[in-house]
Amino acid sequence: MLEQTHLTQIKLLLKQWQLLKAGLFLLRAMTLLAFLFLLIQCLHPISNLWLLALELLAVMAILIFPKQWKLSETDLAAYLNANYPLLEDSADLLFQSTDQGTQLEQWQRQKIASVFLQLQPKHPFVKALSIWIGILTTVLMALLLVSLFHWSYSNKNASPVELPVSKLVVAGIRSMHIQIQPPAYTGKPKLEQEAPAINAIEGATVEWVVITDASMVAPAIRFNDSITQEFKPLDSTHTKWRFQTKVNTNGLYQIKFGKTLSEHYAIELVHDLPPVIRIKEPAAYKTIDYGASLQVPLKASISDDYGLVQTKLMLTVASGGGEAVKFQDQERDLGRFAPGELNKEILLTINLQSLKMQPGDELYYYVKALDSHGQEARSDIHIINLPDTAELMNTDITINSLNLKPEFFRSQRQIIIETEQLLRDRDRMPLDSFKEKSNSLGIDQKLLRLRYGKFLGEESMGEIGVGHDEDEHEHGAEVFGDASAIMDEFSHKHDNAEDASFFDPQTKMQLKAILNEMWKSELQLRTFFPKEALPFEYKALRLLKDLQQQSRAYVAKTSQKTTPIKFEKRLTADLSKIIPPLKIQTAPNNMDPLMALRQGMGLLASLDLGTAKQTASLLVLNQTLNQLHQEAIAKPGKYLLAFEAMKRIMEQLPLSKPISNNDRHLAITACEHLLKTATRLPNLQQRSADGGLSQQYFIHLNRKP
Amino acid sequence: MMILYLMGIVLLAIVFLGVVFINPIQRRRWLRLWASLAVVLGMALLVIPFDKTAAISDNAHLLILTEGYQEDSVAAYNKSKAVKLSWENLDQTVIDKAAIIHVFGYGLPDTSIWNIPKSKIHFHISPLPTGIANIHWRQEIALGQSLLIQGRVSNPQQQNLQLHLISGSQVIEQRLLGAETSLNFQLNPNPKNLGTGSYQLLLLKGKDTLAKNTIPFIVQLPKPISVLLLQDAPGFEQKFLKNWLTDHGYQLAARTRISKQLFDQAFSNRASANLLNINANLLSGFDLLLTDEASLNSLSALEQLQIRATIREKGLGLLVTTDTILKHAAILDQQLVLKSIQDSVGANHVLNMQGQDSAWHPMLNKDAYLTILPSSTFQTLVSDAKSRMLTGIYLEGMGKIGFSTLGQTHLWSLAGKQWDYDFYWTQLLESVTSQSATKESWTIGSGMDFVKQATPIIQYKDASQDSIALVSGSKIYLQQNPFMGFKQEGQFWPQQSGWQNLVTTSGQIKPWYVFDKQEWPLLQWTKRRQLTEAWLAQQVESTKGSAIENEASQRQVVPAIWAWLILLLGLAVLWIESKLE
Repeated sequence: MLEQTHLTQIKLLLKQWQLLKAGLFLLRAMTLLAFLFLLIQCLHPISNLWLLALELLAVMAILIFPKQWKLSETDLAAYLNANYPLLEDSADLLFQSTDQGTQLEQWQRQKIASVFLQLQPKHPFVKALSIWIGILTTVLMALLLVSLFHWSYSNKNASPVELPVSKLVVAGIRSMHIQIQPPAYTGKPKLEQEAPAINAIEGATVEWVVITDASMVAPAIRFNDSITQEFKPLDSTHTKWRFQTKVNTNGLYQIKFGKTLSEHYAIELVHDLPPVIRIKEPAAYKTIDYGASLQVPLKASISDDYGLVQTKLMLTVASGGGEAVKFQDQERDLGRFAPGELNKEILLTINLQSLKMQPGDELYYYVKALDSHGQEARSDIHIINLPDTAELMNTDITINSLNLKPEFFRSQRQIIIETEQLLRDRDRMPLDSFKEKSNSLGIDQKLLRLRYGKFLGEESMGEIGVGHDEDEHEHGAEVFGDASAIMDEFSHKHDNAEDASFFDPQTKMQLKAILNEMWKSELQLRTFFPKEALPFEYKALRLLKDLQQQSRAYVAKTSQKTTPIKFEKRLTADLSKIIPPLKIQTAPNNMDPLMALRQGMGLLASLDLGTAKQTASLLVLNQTLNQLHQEAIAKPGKYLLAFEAMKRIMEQLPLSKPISNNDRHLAITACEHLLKTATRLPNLQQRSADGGLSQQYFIHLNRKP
Repeated sequence: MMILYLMGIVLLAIVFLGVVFINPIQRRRWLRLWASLAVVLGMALLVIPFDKTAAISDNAHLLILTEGYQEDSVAAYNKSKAVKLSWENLDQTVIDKAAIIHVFGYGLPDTSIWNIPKSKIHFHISPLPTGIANIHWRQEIALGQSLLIQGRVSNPQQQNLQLHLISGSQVIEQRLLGAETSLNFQLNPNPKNLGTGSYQLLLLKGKDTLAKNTIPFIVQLPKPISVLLLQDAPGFEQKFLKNWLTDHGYQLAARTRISKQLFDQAFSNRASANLLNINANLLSGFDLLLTDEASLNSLSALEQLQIRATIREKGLGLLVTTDTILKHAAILDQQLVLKSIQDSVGANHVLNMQGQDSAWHPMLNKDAYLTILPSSTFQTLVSDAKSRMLTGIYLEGMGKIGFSTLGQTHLWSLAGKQWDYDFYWTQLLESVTSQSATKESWTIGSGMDFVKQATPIIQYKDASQDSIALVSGSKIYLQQNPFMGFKQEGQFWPQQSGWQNLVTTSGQIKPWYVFDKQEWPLLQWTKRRQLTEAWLAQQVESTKGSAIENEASQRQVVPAIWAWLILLLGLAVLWIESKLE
């Protein structure tokens, strides 16, 4: 019986000690990990939940390292042998059952079994356990302190400026929910929010859903302090209400329930902008030189805020000149877009040859784009010029904008008729009179030539284009003491034929050609060859006709009607019946519409003074409030806060409540933004009636010498 | 009460002495005796309030500490015989006793409170910290006029500083100041409000605000000028000027010759009058007579005489314009000599306004123009780039006469430079116009008044009768100055900072600003320092009356720590002595 007892006892002891040792191992592992966590926490704050995860590692360590904590029977026996001499180094015998071992062993076991039962061995881990518990507690305390420190620190450093989220404060309204559905073409998702301030894309549909406590009356929504509309009930209990509208303008709204009205909330819209087109290449005006490639690369970028639908390249070829200008339009599609495509780079080549462009032609082109909202934008018109090299050779560089033509090109026809008549009458008339007639026709032709020559500034009777004869030049009589005369002598100061008339270079050239023909015709007539003169005369006429009909300038006729002069009164210097004029004017009343705002800004600076509560001042401040109201509706993002601040001021002022500096500064800043610098005007300064003379007198009188 | 205390002490002493002498042990009896006496003395000192009456010995140093004193410089003088007192605790007897007085800090706040002999004073000035040391701005301006803030920043540490001028919460002007010890700055904001207004001037170092001070000001609507315009022929220049004055609400009467005996008369913002005869009565209704030289010459001798008299005695302003050299009328200074010049250099045509550092630099649009030759009486107003005078002013009795050869200023307006036109005429009219007479004028404060400090209120007026002013609800009775009959004086101690109202007897309301004590500290210290220095620099007054009697003594309470020490010492000795036994 005793034998059995000692076996169960020692087994129990082994089990207990085993548990304690395992516990000690776990404790050690946990302490170590907790310390590690503390170090990490000090360097970089992390969530304390990580500690739990880390401690799980300790549990896993028990499973991984069983050798570290397993207590075998031999270990226990060795420990007992070492610490309890009474067991006579035979503690291992205690683990054997009664009938095991030699006789000697059995005897020995019987002997020490009774000793063992009396002896209550102290387990060796108590001290270590208590020490490790102490260490763990310390580490955990330290962890707590560190995390407390982090918490308070992060609380202190929380973002200091946070704009107050305007919450709905209307008695009876439990909650409000806003749904903003952007226009379909934007492809943007629906937005849901609780905050009453609305920021939406232009044309969005906004739906307010309001839940009220009682169901007495329908809540209402008030836009821009003017239009009030009621909510529609959503359920039978009349506590859930809905209002839906499409927003197209910036503004303010308030929610009204019963008699209470909420504060102002902004409706700020984001406008859909038209597409932006930028042609990167070629430059706005490009000239294709002779021999250069007729393939022009076009690079452009197109972007839009919500999506492009289509882009087109518009081409116009202009050919010909004067009245014969022809335009040829072409349209080229630059491709379709996938829905929601915001940017497009365009790369293509314009082939001038395929556009049938000739030298002298010009190509005008621009890019057109359509966005998903149907807004169209077009780029600037760019020009590609294909110069006419032949024309370039002829063109005179000087340009005269006036394009006037002489109007009396008539008598050339007369000369032709007479020449033909002369040729017909030739046989019937004597040779002398024929020659005389031919000569006189030549003289007529010369006179006509000289008449046209005047338009060109020809001054000599000589041939056209012949240089000025130096010898013809007459130098005036010598004049002494006149510098300009001496200058004239050595300088060639004739009028320049080229610049002396009003005609443009082309007209001049044609005129010159006419004169040339006339000259040739005159030559033939003067040498009595009227028949030979005829072709030149015809050519001159044709050229003249051309010149007449090529282009015309229209100048409207103006006329003036003057009152008839009364000669009997003229130059008598009699003014007795003339009444001296008298004019009385007054300044327009409203010179500066912002004057009330200026005064209001002044009053805001000194609100503490009693004067701000006077009726006149309150009127001015009310005008300031109205002005800010207008601005807040137009630009809620910029002026809504200022308007509300001003409103608070106006509410508190008559009640003599303290006015917050913040409100005042907001209102003053808004005024500062709205007002322009005033015009400086002469100011009448003040002085005392005697001009300060008596003051000066007394001051000097009292002065010590 | 005192007797009770004394009796108690005596009883205590008897008991203690009894214990000492009854004790049979003879050794250390004296020690016990002294220790017991010490205990009794200690208790007596604790119980009875005891004054130490001691005369401060002669030839002591008195160290007066004023605001801003530095510990280490005080420590250098704080020797055995020195008495250290702050300005608030100063006492005439201490001053009288002292042989040498050292003043530390920024100076004495008031030199008149105590009779401090100057000969004894050594002033140890503390250096001023970083901040705005001087500041000036126009406190009362007309609408459209700029404030012109000028000042100096003291920057002993040579830091990089910034100045921000703030209206409401918006920065309207800023300056970057370099790292120098002393920096002058100038800000030129244009207030947009009417009435009272204030800006905040911030001195910043990086993101730290070193100083935040208020700049209060008053903006008033310009008082319109009443103008009489005489012209010899109609012209664009005059037409533009007439329209400009009319549109801005100025009173204008214009007479333009359109034929030999025929005049066009025009009146703006006023009733019509007969302008055909210029007389003193007519002229008294105007502040300014604006005429061209030809029409001035065409006036009769009597008219000219009356104009001259009005200018001299009533202070009428006369502005004469011309574009040709004519024989000057008798009214004009005969030293006025015009010279026609031809200058085709475009750069010389740029005009300058004297004394105005502004953006006003319009051009003359002619090569040939008239200039006024410099003379001792003339003050130049407008000159060309070569400093040749085109517009000048001189004094004539109480009034001023201006002469201008600029005849085509309306071209600036036509060219879109309306600002140039406005500026030119504003400056010209203001400098020629006489100041209007007022019956009474008020001066409140010194320009920078602080709360809880005396603020002078002065009224100048013709009639010498008693005046009452109402300042922020309290009545101030003004006293007539015994020497200057037109001057009424009073004093006001503002109890709160901010805008204050002065209501005059005639019902006028004049606002003025009172600063908080914390504002403009450097300015207060600088002023204090300058006052102290100026006071010290004054002739040392005769030392006759300042013979010092040394009898005065000072009562001083003995600190309780000594009583405790004596008591504890006695008790300790007794305890140790009992243990030794």
